[in-house]
Amino acid sequence: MPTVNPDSIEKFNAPIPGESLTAEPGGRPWQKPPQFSKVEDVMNYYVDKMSDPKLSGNAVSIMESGVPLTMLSETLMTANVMEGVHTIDVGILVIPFIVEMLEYLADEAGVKYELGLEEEEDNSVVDSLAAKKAFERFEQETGREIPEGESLEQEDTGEAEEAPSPEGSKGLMSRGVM
Amino acid sequence: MSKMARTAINNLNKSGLLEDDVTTPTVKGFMGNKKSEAQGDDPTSTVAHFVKLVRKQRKELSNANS
Repeated sequence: MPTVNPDSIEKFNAPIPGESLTAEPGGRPWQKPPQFSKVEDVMNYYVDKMSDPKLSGNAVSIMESGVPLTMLSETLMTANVMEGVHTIDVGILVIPFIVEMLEYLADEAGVKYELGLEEEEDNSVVDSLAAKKAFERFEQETGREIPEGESLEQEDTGEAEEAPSPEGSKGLMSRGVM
Repeated sequence: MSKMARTAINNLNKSGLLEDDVTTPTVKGFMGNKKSEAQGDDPTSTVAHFVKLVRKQRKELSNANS
């Protein structure tokens, strides 16, 4: 199965230096007082959100695709922090409740899900999703279909090896021959 | 990505707040409903209380389906 290095994708998601200075202080939603500050209110907010058929339908389809509930709940929580609904500390407190609600939704829909409580990071789902997207983009751009089993990784030809050091230079401080 | 969520859930499991049975809040105060003792004052036990409520509903749902 073809693999895509997740590190190469993350590089493009990094903020540009000075990006935080492009808006006025206090201009971002997460820099203002949150909409809800009590855990009860935040939990009520999530109950209302998950009662929405559109959101619950999307959540069920994401869970069905194999995304762990911990990842989904954290994404949901972070998105609401960004929108200024609640602060991140209240969000972390509420995460177990969000996961429980997602489990309830999955049980109700009869969908098998992965909780994602294991200690080891499993990036196989993200890798396969990223690879699928890359394949689709490649097929759209070139109009060529990739047969199954073909790897995107370049084969190691051994050409790009270290350039041979000039003879005579033995160390960092050694002088070259005049 | 899911490290925060894993830590939060593991901490709540370790705290032992999820082990007690859910009691229905029937206590009434002078000026309306008071919080039940199981719900507690601190936010962690409040979250644990509601987690247990949802868990109980999930059990009822699975019993109804089977």
